[in-house]
Amino acid sequence: MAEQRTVTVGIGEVFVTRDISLVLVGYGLGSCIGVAAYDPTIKGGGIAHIMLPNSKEASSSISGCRFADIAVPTLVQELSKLGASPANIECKIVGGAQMLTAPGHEDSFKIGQRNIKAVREILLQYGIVPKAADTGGTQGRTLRLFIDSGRVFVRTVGRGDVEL
Amino acid sequence: MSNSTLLIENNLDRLRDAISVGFEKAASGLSEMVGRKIEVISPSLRIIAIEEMPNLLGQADEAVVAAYVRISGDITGHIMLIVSLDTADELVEMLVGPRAQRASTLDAMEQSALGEVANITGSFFLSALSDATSLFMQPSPPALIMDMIGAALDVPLAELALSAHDALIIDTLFISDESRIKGIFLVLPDTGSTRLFVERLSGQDG
Repeated sequence: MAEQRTVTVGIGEVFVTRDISLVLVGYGLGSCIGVAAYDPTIKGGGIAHIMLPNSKEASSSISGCRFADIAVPTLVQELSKLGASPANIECKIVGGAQMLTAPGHEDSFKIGQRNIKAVREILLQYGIVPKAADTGGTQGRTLRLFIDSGRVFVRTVGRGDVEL
Repeated sequence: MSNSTLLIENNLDRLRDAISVGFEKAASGLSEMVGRKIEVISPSLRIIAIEEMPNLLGQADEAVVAAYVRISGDITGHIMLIVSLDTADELVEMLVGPRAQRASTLDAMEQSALGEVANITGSFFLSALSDATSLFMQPSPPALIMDMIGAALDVPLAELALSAHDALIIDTLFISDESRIKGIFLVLPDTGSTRLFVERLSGQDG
């Protein structure tokens, strides 16, 4: 087996590749969402690490892949440039937790839940329904996508890696 | 570079002085509370892209205990006191006595003791800044997050990301020689608040 290298996909980043030696990782997703997309027919995939649902809610000069409405289309388009087709893309979504649970601190913006909803809606515009999801709840997650196999693993504190 | 960024950079020394006094006060409040000498190390002020912030504090999925305090009033923003699990254990023992066993979870009283640490440090810090600017700032009750550092940071960052590319990040380390106490004290003012705060410090009123 070829040696594997890890690429960190930070907040607001979209990274796609067909390099089967790579493992893409979105570390410490709280209310953020990681979208792992993979086309097995080309052995190519990518991750979008999304912070907020909608760029239209932001101040006018703020844009980019921190928002689902920009990051998800970017992910699909970048994968298409590598030869993927939306009909073959398998998506798994991870994150969207509510990190503040203390009384008086309940997340009035419901960022996590709104991120989940936004990502699902935008994926649907490409005819993509997530094949699996580990979303919501109150725990942070780390997402790993293995480009050689398309396998996705999710880690939480105290539980270790579990395949999704 | 935005006007706010320019204003901040032109007044960085004033800002640094005021913040340092705030951190000193916070550390002395914490020292009193735990009965050990706690010192502040190398406060730093940086304006960086929000996307870069999780990388500044180490691996984003390291398990930590983070106490979050929201700032409201004339100035709005976020304070987070972030400590390792070991430091959280040490703090709890200083505050509520020896624990039967070190656990990965904290009971309600232990959580409230750690929340109180954030409350004290945050209150001392904000009152020093209020004194320097005559601006009203009030801390919320603390909320504890025991999870990955990146996941905890999503709380302030998601809000900041709606209105700004960059944000002012103010952080310092709290350390104690006598034990393994080490913590990051992180302050993230909302964009408009940074501007107002610096204007007051520099003697301009808008």
